[in-house]
Amino acid sequence: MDKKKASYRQDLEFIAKAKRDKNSFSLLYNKYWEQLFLYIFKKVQSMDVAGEVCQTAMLKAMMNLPKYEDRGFPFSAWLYRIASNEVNLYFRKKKKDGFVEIKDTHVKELMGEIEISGLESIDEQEKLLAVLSELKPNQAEIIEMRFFFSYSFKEIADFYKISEANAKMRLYRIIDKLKQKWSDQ
Amino acid sequence: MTKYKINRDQEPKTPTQEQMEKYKDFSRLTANYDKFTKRPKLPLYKDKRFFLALIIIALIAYLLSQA
Repeated sequence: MDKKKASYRQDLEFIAKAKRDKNSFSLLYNKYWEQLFLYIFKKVQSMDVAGEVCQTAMLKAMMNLPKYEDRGFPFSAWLYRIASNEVNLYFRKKKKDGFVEIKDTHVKELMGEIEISGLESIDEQEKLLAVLSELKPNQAEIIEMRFFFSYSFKEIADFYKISEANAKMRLYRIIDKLKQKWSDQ
Repeated sequence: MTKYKINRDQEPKTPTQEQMEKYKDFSRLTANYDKFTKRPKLPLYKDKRFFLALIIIALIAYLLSQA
């Protein structure tokens, strides 16, 4: 049995325990705390905020666990969804825009995908990020996951609860949209 | 709308395991869970203070209606 399958089975076991006894939720809490914290931190860029948002996301997960049904996707995908909603809620409450800090190598990778020449040009890189900012948040999110957070297609597919083929199709449609916006400017 | 900033000078900062551990607190989580899910031990009408407030409101309402 590979690692992922073993983890999936372990999650099902933990979930069943946590549904019977709330204190057993600590098994899931301890297993996913760091993963979730890092995911949130990448979006909010503050440890205090990430700690608070992560705690709220875990609380929501704990409260909604009785309604959780296994549909063949990893439990972590469900947690990431909750965390993503919490991050959006945080930015809405604070009336702030989301902020993502990225490495220039990630931008260059995205530029390569969109077939933009002059990868080293800072102007071109900034222009691309401005174009990216114009996308709807749900469209930008998948680009962020793939190019800035280096998620695999499998992880993206799990996050959206879709197949890997669908995740690829969704990503490339958005890349096409980006190409279009890039050539229109 | 999400804003993007390129960090050219250094690797984007990542919290260490110790830093993340500092924010981990399962007992706070369960306390919050209880706060949200558990019903108050006493029903409101059996709460002495609430009951008193209810009598005062009723009395004021009665006095106002008689005035």
